[in-house]
Amino acid sequence: MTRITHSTPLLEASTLCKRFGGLTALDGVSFTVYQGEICGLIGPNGAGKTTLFNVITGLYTADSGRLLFAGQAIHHAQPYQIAQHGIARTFQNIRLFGTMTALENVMVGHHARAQSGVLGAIFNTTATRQEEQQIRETSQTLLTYCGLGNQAQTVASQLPYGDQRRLEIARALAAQPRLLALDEPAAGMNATETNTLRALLERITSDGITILLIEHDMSLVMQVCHRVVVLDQGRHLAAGTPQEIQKNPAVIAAYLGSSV
Amino acid sequence: MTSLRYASWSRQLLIISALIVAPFAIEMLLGRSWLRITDVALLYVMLALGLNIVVGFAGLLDLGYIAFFAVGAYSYALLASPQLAIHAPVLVIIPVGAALAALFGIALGAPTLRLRGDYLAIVTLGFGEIIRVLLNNLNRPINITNGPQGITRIDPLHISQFSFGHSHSLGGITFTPLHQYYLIFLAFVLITILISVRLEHSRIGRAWRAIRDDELAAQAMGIHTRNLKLLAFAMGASFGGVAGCLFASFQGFISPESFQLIDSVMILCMVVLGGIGHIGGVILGALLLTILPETLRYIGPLQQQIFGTVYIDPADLRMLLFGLALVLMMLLRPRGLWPKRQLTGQLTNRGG
Repeated sequence: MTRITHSTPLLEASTLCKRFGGLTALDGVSFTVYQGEICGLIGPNGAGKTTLFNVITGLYTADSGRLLFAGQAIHHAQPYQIAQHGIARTFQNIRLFGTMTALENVMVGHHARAQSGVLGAIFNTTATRQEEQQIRETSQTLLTYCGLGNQAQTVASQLPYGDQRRLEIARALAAQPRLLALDEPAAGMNATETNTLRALLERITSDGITILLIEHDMSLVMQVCHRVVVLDQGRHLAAGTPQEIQKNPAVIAAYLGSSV
Repeated sequence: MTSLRYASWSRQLLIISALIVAPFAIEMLLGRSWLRITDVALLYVMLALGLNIVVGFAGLLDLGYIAFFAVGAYSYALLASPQLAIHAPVLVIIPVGAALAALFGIALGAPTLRLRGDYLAIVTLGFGEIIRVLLNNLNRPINITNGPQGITRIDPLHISQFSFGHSHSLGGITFTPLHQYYLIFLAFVLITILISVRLEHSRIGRAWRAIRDDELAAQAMGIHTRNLKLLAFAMGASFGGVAGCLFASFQGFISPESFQLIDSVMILCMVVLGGIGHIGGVILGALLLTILPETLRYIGPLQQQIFGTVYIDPADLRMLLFGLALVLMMLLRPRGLWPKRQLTGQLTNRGG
């Protein structure tokens, strides 16, 4: 078992339930994400992966269950508070700010970590100007970090698809998260783009940010994740190293359909 | 760097001195009535810039914006007229008018936080009507607003002994009330522009645009969407409130009739026609939509001169041409006469 060296839990979910009318999207899901790892979250379509993401990031409130982030209960927090706690996310269907430039998108990502308000803006105070300047510089650095350094002034909706996905990651990183939650970042990418993405994910973890990754690209998941959690029909099915998961009969049955 | 800054300073100085001389030129070339129209146009610029914060920056469609203008106007009228026998100083009334309008902005924003687009437009439209009906009926059992008769004999703007309602001369030049109001309105417009520009390029302005583009993603980025939407309503409303105060002092008489749905629509048209979200475009829209309808007044006498009789009533023609202009605009320049550069790029891309 190649568990990550110092296994401090960062995110702990216990018996999370979420129902939509008659549909039980999450049925008592419990799992843990450890500090410093890339944790994969996989499962067949409709397994409840995105619902789980939405519960973690506060877009949905769980009907029952608990969610601890770095020891603090966050299951009743609003989305903006989740961001302040240190969880940032990307979206399965890209949700960039379409009329803004790549740079401005990343600058918005800094919102939760900045202070300047209306009066500072109106009177153009020194503190506000310094903060703006600093946000601008950090944003440019983040774009470069994600391989978008020369796209700063391009309007987000005009960027190529793969760049849009990486811009979402840059925007999320701007919130200085401890946990980065990525919802299918490789969807629609070709092999080259996926390779670039893999390198980026590894770099982000080596910089100390924990990643929770929903992904359908199994080769990416198996290469990059330290641990994988499998969901099926709203239930926690299995968890373990990629090697263990690949051999797990229950997982194989869920993906290929069981003969029983 | 210093020479560049010097160039921009001297250019700004040139523009400001041109703006100060403008009323004299207008009065000399076009006559007094056009100076009055110019004064009103400046008020509309303020209103359009205020609405632009709500509609252009934050993307919240507001069809009842004239209500905040009314709140400001009635604040001034009630605090500076024989109606309640109060004659408070201007420096007190204008902040009160702005604050009261901001409060009404929050009162409109709070229940409509979950609404967007058409649904928000319907509620705000209702809100605008509620304020007008309220002003119309607050004359009994206690007479506060004097109902449909409106409030008359409103004090002109005055700062201690200096009244904007009387002519003053300075260095041999006579400043009539219209000149003086022009200058004070111009000062307020410049302040409004400054605030708009600074807000647009601030953390707050970015957050507003983020909410406009994608509210869900904005939340996930740590933006407190509820507070920022309320802030947009309050800021926009306070601009309307200040413009309302100035309007009441300028006219000397106000009644609920000045604050109808068509006026809200007109201000929205200024924002949309000029270039939604673009400060320069919005100013252009406000000036054009105030000045163009006035020029059509000459159509009546012109017909008389050419045909010997008036075939089309100028008032009908105004609305007809106005409608035609709107349709043509939407067909030819859907982003407005002077849109933001970024948005045109996006538009051509979408067409391809």
